[in-house]
Amino acid sequence: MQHGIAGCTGTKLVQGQIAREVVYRLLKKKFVLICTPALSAGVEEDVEFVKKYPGISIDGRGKECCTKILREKGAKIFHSINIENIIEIEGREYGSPLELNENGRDAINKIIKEVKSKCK
Amino acid sequence: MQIGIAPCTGMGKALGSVSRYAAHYLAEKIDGEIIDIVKISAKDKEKLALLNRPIIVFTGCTENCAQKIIEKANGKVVSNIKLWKILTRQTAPDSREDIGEKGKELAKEAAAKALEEIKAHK
Repeated sequence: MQHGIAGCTGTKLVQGQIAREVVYRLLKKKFVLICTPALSAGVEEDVEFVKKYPGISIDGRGKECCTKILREKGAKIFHSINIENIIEIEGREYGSPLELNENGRDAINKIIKEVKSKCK
Repeated sequence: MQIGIAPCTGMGKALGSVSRYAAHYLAEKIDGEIIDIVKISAKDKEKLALLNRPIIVFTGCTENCAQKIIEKANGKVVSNIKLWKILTRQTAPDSREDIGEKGKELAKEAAAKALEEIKAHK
């Protein structure tokens, strides 16, 4: 069965870039991309997909915007991950909201491990 | 007056990634505040309060999600830079994951175009 994956896509915080890169890496593991802004804007392809297939959301912060949007559109969410619950944000450097550094790339691996553990 | 800058942030296409770079490049040049459209959709009060200013949108695909989201939340879009309209073979981004130098060039062109439109508005 197909699984969808959506990320927070935040533009100003590094967590947004981490979420994006996690999503892109997992697309190679047979996940299907849910474009969060498109879903939110009501693009039919995304709206129909989330109603039909279970999905996972990768939130950048405790505000959980991505998960909220998925829920609002009637998505079947089987797991939500908040990046801040997996990696320490305060006092750590992961790069910029546009490009990650080595720590940022390590963070991606930790989050992917968490996602995979939930998808067995 | 401070300008709001709303990139589409779409993940399906490389031009969505270019839109984010364009927003950052423009924010470096003007008194502008980047507005996350996903936070607007999620009804984040702090971000909704930013919709009281003129907003420039950078759009990565024809779905035009950023403008739709901003307008649904009663924001006023004064300009929409559609990236595919200024895209050339010389500025085609490498991929959605990594837009490369050419994609960054396109983002700078988009930011410059937005800057021109802001000046024309004044």
